[in-house]
Amino acid sequence: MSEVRTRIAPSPTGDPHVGTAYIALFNLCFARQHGGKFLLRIEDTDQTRSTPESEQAILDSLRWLGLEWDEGPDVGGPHGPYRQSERMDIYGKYAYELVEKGHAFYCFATSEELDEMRREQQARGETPKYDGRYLKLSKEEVQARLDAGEPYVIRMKIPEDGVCVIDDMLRGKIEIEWSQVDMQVLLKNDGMPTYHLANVVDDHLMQITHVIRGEEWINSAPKHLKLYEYFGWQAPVLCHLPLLRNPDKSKLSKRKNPTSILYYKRMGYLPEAMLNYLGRMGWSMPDDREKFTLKEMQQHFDLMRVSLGGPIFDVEKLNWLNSAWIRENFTHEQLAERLHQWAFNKDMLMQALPHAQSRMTTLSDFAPLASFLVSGMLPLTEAQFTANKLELEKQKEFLQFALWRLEALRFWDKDTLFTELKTLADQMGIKVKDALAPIFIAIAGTTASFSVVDSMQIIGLI
Amino acid sequence: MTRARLRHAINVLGGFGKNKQKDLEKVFLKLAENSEKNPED
Repeated sequence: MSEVRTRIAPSPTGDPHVGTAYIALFNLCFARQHGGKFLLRIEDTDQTRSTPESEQAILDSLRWLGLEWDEGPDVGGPHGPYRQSERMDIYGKYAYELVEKGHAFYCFATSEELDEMRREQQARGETPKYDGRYLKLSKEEVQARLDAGEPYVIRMKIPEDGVCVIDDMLRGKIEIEWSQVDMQVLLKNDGMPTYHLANVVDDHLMQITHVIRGEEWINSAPKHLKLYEYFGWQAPVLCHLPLLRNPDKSKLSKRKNPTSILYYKRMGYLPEAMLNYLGRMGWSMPDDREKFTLKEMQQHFDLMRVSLGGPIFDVEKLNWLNSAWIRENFTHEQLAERLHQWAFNKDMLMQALPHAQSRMTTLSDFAPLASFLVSGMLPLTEAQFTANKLELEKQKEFLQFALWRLEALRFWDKDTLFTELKTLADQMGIKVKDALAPIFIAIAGTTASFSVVDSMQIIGLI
Repeated sequence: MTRARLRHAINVLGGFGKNKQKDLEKVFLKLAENSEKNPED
């Protein structure tokens, strides 16, 4: 058997997600267990949503957790570049190769035409999918349209009937009827590849032997396997891990559980405990011990022992594990060093002092003024909001709208923050001062604090 | 921690039920639309 090669392939379109770290951990352990290599590839084909800041945050967060890759955009390797935006000239020829081989076709449908097609299908009670309307154009007609400069995409052909059998390492044989699979666009009308084409081409060129990913990709597996077949390539072994879930069993979402690794770092969780907890998501050590290191996990890892029941990401259990790590694994000296690295350092003081100094009579005034900057969740009560001018319901509404506006921000500074909040207050017909009062309490625990947008900038957007 | 603390404050104030959340989403979109139509307002 050739060298085992696994990969994590995140898209840099937001905060680094705990689910990415979970999948990366299992890929790393599997590769290490087999003496293989673990790669990191940035899938940034969606140029409108991908940002370098998000990519950096993903790399930093995975490294903070202690996950290291053998090849990647920042460490290089023999199969680079490892950032899809730097590989754009690779994908097109593969799409045209499939057209040449008769496995893909030009589709000239406009978006209006496709919208109409979907509406008609829905009116007939059918699930909307591409109906193959440009599949059977003659060569001459295709050429005429190309000569006329008509925009087009390239779609892959899909068998009309029959069943695709996916041999999943964990789940055994999964059958999906081809009639359920859409004729996927491979190359968009701007010449850019879709996720599916780039993903398969890169996994092949980077010699990935095992694709270990989340179960949300099971429905894409038929397209991917068919692409490998069309190209005449050996498909990697597929393994779909169970998705992380909220305690109520719903898919892990930030509405019910913080999902950003940055949040857990900022809250003061230890990377060792985070990684330990992620390692227990659907997996356990042979002797069932609850605390273990990454090294120990790698030594004892067996992918076949992953349980398919949706693993629950429960912050209460993470708290228990984190406290056990703090109590049992650190000397006072080591813990002091961690606190220093985390927040008790000159950098934090220098951020806070410009706002606190003018309010200080003695040095001891600093702690009550600035403690909210390093605290986790503040011990708020409803009573704190009742002194504000706006009704509680209106305050809550403003907080929600402000949250949605801030969730949509990709770049921000204090001026942007103030503009966002002021614009919202104006839209709602509320005086800015009244609108900011609940924000003050939410951010600092009191309205008697220094500038709320300065505070927001210091504590970060997470 | 800004977003996390805003979420926490909303929860402290009782949060929103699913239906109310959907209603609010509509109001939120409407506010943004109106603002785009009347940018000088």
